[in-house]
Amino acid sequence: MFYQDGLGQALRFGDVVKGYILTNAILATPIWDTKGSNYAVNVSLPHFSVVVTPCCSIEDRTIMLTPLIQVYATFFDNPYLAEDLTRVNRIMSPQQAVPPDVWDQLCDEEKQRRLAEGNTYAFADLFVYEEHESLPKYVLHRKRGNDIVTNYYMINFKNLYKVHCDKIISPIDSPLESKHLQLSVETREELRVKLARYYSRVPREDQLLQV
Amino acid sequence: MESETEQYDYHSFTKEGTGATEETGDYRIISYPFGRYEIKVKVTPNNEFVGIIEVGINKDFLTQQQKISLQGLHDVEKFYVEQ
Repeated sequence: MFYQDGLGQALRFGDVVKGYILTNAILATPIWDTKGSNYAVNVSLPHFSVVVTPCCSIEDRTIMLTPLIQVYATFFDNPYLAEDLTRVNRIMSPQQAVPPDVWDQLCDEEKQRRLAEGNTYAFADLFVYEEHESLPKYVLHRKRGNDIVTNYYMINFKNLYKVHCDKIISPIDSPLESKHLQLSVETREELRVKLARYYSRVPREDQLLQV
Repeated sequence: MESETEQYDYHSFTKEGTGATEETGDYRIISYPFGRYEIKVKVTPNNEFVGIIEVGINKDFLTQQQKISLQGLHDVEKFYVEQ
């Protein structure tokens, strides 16, 4: 079960919420002085966002969010993922991580290199939200035709942003009317682990220095 | 010293599995989950069984902490760009 049946009486990590603005600062170059700076701040209202503040840290009128965005149409090129797009959220084998025709075209050396990784994550920065009847369907247009209608969504860990809201005092003392969907305990754990994995990746050059 | 040996054993078992240095030639390698283990089987291009080349831990059974500390990542983004 991806979502919990019904909504709890608290804002939780992974909740789908609505009504929170998204701000996006755009900077041409870092500002070294006040002359000639070139920047903009875009403000929009996503249909839905996801809470990425850990439950125990929802306090002090501040919350971290990320917008719920459309999935990649190309996920559907991989039958393993197309069968259940939430497989993006879990570890998988090297063969499962790519479409079969791509795997077949890899040279033996590349296959062996990938097989040596064993089962692990793909798409480190993505987490897919399962279809739900309350989430609107949308069309993914393919360049080759055969458009796809879906209401799978996803979040990208690169899109995190902070919102100040006077109504957010604690998980319980928050505007619960903004809460739209709540993850099951198991799914919340999957999101927690994948987000932690996203930040715990060690660059290859650091790995070499640790030896 | 003892703990270092244990860490090495754990690392070699989870990362490499037994027999991980097997030469594979023109054969295909298929991962086959078997309980808590993952068996890598060598087959010919015609899917004829040749032998077992490696036995490792099936990472679907890793704890959450172990999943977080996984080092590898499937580099696949380039295969999902709309053509």
